[in-house]
Amino acid sequence: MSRRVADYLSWVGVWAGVGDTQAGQQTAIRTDFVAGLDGTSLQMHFEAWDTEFKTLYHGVRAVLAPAPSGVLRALGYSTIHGPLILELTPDDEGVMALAGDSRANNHLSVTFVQDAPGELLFTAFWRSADKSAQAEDGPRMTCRLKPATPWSPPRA
Amino acid sequence: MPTRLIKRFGDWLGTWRGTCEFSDGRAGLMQFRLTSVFNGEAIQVDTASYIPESGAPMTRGSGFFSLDRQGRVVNNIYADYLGFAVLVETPDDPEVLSLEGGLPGNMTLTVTMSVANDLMTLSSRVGEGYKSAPGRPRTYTQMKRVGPIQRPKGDAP
Amino acid sequence: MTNPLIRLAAWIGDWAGQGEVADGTEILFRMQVSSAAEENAVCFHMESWIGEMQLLHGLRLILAPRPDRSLHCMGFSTRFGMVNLTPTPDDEDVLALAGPTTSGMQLSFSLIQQDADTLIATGMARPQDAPPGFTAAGGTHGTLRRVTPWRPPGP
Repeated sequence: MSRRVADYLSWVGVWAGVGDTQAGQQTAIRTDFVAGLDGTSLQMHFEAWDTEFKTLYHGVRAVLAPAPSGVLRALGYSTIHGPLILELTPDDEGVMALAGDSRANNHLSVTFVQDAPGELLFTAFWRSADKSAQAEDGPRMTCRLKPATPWSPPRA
Repeated sequence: MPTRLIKRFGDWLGTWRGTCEFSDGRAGLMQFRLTSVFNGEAIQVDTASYIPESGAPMTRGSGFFSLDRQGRVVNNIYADYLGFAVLVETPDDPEVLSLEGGLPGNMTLTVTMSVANDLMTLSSRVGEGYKSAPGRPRTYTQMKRVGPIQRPKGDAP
Repeated sequence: MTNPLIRLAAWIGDWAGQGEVADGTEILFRMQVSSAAEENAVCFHMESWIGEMQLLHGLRLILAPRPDRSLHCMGFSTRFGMVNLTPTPDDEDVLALAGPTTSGMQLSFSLIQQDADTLIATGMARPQDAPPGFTAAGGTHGTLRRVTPWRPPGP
């Protein structure tokens, strides 16, 4: 089913969690969704850190917007893969599945699935585009993200 | 240490606004906002144009400048009236950034940008075919820097 | 007269690091410094995180010149509500802010530039009606470094 930017505006806000990288390290992930371009696009800012915030493993800034045909694509920049244009692949409600090739000929797949109202399951992987799709059964980055609700002191 | 991208374009960062003449003859008010992303790994460019009299939006877009392994600028862009494209730097004078790339429907987009004396000049042209047709009308805008915070070229992002 | 914000323009960018709060709990610190109000102000967006990425404290400050060109700072804290801070005189490489919050606290916050890529952040809050000589039990302290993304090893 084709999606509209408005389908994802309920995700606007900061989400965070601890998960695993594709290489198997623990990672602290923070992602931020913001409505952009007068509400016609969704801007995404993604950071995956080591759990001490010393190394930014991966940073991605992207804009999900409609082409004149109405098809949604994500324009982005990745600190690992460089400039990106990813296609939104048809999927169920509450799913944002993006895929495409980088200029260095790596195939990327990024998916957010809204498991529950306060939970996004994030998965991503990349493989060399000349490797078969069977390589997609390999390891991937995963993280359960929750809205960044500020801590408050326990009530007496 | 500033990145190579910021060394070259650090003095382009900020907000720019000015008049614009579109290729179809319409006049608009254009705004560009260039911000450093991930401490100068990329520069995000957000653009918007408005009808001068009413302030109603005309066009909106976003893009990222980054450098490829050869040091050439790669500019992946989105414009609501054009769609998505990847533009790559083409040879030009050192102070000029010229970019070219394909658009859907066998169209080509060329963009030329420069900054001199706090004035950003931009012209773009959409042409049919593998190379843009030089005779086609172009969109032309001159924008002045808005706001006083200015970083010297090559300063930290 | 020079724009009083120009010296802070060098801090614009992304910062991250570690720190601790008064009870010794370790925190992860993240700060984005950006220009605001069409380059007429500087915005500080700070987050401290604990454990499995639980947001401990979020603070967003806008530092801008008044019409008389003296600087003033207003913002919002997830713990203290609206904050209204005034820069206190200090060295060139220090930004020290202090003032009241709408939750009845007196907040002080400072960023000290250790070198071009390192900032020391400290924050302290005490009740506005605290008696003279009251010593706050502690505050937040952390070291922030300019973010440099990891790069894949070359071939």
